[in-house]
Amino acid sequence: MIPELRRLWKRVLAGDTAAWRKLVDSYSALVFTVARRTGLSEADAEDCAQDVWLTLYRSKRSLKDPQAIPAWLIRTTHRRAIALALRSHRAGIRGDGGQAADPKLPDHELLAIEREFLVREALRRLDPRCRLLVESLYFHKDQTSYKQLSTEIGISPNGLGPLRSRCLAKLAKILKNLGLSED
Amino acid sequence: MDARIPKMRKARNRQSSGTTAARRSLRLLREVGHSPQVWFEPSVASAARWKVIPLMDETVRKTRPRHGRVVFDSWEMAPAVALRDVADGHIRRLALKAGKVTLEIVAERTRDHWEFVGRIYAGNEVQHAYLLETGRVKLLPRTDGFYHWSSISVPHTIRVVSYRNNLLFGGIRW
Repeated sequence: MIPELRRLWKRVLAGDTAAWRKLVDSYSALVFTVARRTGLSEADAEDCAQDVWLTLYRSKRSLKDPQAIPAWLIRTTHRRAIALALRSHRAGIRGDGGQAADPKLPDHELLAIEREFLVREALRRLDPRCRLLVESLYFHKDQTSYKQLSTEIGISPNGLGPLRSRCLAKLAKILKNLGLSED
Repeated sequence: MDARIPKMRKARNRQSSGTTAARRSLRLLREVGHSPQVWFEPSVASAARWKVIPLMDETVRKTRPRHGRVVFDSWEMAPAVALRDVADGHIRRLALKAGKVTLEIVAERTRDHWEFVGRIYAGNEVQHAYLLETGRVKLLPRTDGFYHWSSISVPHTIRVVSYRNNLLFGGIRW
């Protein structure tokens, strides 16, 4: 769980609209990704996400544990997206990512989405230098050479190895604070 | 010497747990970084509509209402060509303006109810961060900023609310 989530949720319950906007900013990509990976088109995924956020807002008082919000968002989005995908399929309309048969994602895929979200959140919290290094090494399809990377970061190529270790250690600490556990 | 051993063991344990955690992070990074799945970001416009949801609760609205007026009404225009035997007034186009914000509405009368489509502009730009309210109906825009609703009665007052604006279009005659 994102540590500030508890404080943010308390503010949402108190009617703080800035807190709600921050909540949407924090989790909108997670909701949207679940909807899209369930096979909805961009437009349908946007409408699905809107319904989910509306439901969350309307039932906010019944959600006692803020820790449950990310899992609630994933489950609710997935259920709504499945219903929408099946309805579109029955009407003979397919979105650009539409699946014809069963749009239901297996549990391990939903879990993978949650982990991916937390990793991306952790990356966002890294300092810019570490973020650049980690993204260049592990997220870019075209491998950046160590020489090029050292120039971009502004250290000698020999310094990259120790920097990488320090950045991974920082990332590990952030991930631990976010509550990400190895299954 | 005996007193040093627990400290050394603690330091070694810290180092090994730190190394384990870093290895875990590395495994996760490879899993996520090499994932063939795409991570999707929603558009700014769609996120804007989701952020407006609390405005459905009138108690959180902080802005005072400002009144707008009708600037265009298709019912006040004589048709260029009138078709015989076609009932007048089954479609109406309205533009309501307050300051820089314009609400455009197309209202269509069917056999037993009315269908409405609305869109809000600031200048020429479609606005997504508004709630539209008429009677008990409170609407968020759908994709492309359109508001759709249907009713057996017509709206005499429409309100559009954002975090900055609270615009009231009243006295609409039908």
